Amino acid sequence: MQALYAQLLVGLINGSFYALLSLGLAVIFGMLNIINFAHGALYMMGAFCAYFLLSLTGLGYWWALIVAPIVVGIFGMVLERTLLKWLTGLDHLYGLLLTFGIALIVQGVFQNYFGSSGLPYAIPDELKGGMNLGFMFLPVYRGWVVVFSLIVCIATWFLIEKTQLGAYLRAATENPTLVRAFGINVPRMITLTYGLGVGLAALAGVLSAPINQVRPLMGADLIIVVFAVVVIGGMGSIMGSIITGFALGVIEGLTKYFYPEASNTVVFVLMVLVLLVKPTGLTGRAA
Amino acid sequence: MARAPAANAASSAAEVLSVQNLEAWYGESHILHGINFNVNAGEVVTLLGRNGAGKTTTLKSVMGIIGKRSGSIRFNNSEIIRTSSDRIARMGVAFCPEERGIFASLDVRENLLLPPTVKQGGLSLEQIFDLFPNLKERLKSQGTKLSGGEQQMLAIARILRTGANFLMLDEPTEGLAPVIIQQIGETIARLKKQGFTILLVEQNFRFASTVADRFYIVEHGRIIDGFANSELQANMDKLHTYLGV
Amino acid sequence: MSALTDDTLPITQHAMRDEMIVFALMAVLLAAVPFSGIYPFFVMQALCFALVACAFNLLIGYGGLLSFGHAMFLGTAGYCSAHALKVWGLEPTLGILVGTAAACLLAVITGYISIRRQGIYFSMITLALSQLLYFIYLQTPFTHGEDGIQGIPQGKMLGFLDLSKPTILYYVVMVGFLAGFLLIFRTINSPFGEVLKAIRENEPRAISLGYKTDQYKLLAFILSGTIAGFAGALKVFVAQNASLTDVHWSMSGEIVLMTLVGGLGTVFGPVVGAFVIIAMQQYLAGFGQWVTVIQGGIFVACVLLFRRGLVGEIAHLLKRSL
Repeated sequence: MQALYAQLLVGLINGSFYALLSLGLAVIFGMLNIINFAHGALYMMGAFCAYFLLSLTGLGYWWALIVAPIVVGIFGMVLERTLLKWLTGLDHLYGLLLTFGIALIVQGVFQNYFGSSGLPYAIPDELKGGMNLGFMFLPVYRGWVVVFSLIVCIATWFLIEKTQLGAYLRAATENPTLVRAFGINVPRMITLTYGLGVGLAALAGVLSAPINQVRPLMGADLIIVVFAVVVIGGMGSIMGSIITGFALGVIEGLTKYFYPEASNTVVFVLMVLVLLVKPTGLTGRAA
Repeated sequence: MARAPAANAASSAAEVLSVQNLEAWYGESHILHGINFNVNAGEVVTLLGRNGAGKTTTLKSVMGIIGKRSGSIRFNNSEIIRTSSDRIARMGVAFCPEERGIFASLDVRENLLLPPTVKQGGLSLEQIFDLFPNLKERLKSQGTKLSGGEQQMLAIARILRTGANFLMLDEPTEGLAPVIIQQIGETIARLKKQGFTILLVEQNFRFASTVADRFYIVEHGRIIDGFANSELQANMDKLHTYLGV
Repeated sequence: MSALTDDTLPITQHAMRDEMIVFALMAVLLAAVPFSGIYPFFVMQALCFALVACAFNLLIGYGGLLSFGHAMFLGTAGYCSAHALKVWGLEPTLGILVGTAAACLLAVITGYISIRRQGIYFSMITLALSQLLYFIYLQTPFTHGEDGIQGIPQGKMLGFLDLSKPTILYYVVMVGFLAGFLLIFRTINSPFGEVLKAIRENEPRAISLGYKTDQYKLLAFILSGTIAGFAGALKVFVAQNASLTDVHWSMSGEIVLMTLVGGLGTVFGPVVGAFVIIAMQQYLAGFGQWVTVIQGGIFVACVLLFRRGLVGEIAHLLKRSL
């Protein structure tokens, strides 16, 4: 039974990353109409940023949680201003190809300097150790990851659905030309939105660093699973992305307990099933 | 066939908009072949014409949301032919598109508050609810759940908040019930009294004749005629030919 | 929405004639390779990838569908052929048949699933399906996981063609490539191909004309997957192994890159692109992961500056269809 709860926890943790990453992807896709293949590489950069912050300046985890999303977010905004903005008006598929190329470049550069093996990043002292909950033993850091991710996801949802700023974002996603004709600097909004999505990915990277080692390819296989999550959930709603992300993480965790051989593939199999039954995904917005 | 519209000449009021030799393209399609007209402060000017004549394209060109334009568009004496739409908006131009553009992912209140203030002198929320009382009750509804008439009211209401004093309305009465059309007519008249300058595009010239000071006829991407409201009766036959009514 | 290959090359009156001339030229050049001193192994490898790229191009250039999972056909055919040759001891032609048939079956299944969505979603689905297959192959015993299937016998094709002799193997691969290429060429220029192009340009219009566009797209997908599989089966003889590399998504990415560099939607683009990329990989073999960086750079450069690709640019300059 312990093992089951342990796997559920792992599932929730993976679900946290799926949720944070698919949330970022959905926000970027809504505004820019680009599927950001570079998302996995930017997640990795977040983790590396935390690593460098510690090894070069001695600034620890709590600093990394703030600095990494900002630094990588800025990098993302530079990418958007210099490369991605040339994609407007082109077929959506060029966006996929361009960001794929960016992912190859970023991952290749990191691989050259750091090889394929992982760099360690320690759990911060405040979050070390564990709590005995009776039915299971909960490592504090892992519990923190799930709770913090949930908070960030809900905060992002609130920002987008309930605030004036979010209203601008939603409106610009629907009809950017009209929003611009009201006097809002839509190109700048687009850049900032990309930065937001990237920042979320980088944040996930920082959260991930103490659990999964810091490796150049840590985002490469993850991004494909996130794509499947996105196809399952549809990108129609922010809350839908969050729920689907967590849910699929949990399902994956349960699969690992009951039928381990399928744990790598269960998300993809679910994707196939959803496609056969409801092609537009669970929240149903067509491409 | 650019006959200088008779109405241009004798105007003592300040010129708010002056369009000369405006040409515009949608991709490869050459839509406007040389539009010339002007609008003076405090006037309501209407562009009349058949479907596809280029009326909407003209408004969109002034607003800066058409890809390719050439010629001259002067707003309050500044050349804006190369200016981006957000900067044009911040100069005090507001646009109410034909499809109304109410955002489905925003509720009525968010739709209303979306356009930012660009100048002093915009209507306050109370003043807007005075003009459009039924909007007040529907604030929490999703934008597109409103009826056609209510959406039109909302579309007009939200640009009144911004302080823009040059309004461009694209077919505000299209598809609306006569009672609503009358309300819109009254609203436009009231706005005119308050000093707004309005450029209207209409196919319903009966409605236009109740609010407009001057008319221009647009055909095949050109202005082919123009006259003041006082000359309307005299030009009825010409109007019937132009508009095919 | 502008189709991916919107700079459609003008179909000049002599388009077919131009293309046939280039084809004949290509065949002659290829036939001369064993006498030229160029290392035949390199050309054979390039030809296999060229055929996969051509198959991929059929789908994107003429069907408007960007498959990011074509490695699954390459790899599946490779594994199945390898198994048939090594474990069942089949004769080479039958081995190729087994691999191609496996790829065809896979294409039918994955096509049925993927065609349900369009555009970007289609691409993501093919990628995810390919990854699903990767994990399956990682675990199934017959693939030997990380080691792959090694030491595949080349055998005697049809009883007398000794494939262990490089020159004979080369000509077999060359004939296979030319046959596959011709099949694609014929498809593009057939009524079926015309409908595909119409679907790519304006699917709603094609539907309104009465075409069951999903069926056409599915058929194109199956054809594309089968030919890619055929190329994968051929490659087994050249490399004498079948491994996980062939099913990994990075392989799919390389196939996309080859076609992009050569020219999406051109007839000869994928061939040129394949040769360029394979040559580059050989040349840069000592540079480790910089190859990945350079490939990424080429992707970026092609998308931003060079969308027509090498052959596309040449065709544009010459105002001919290539």
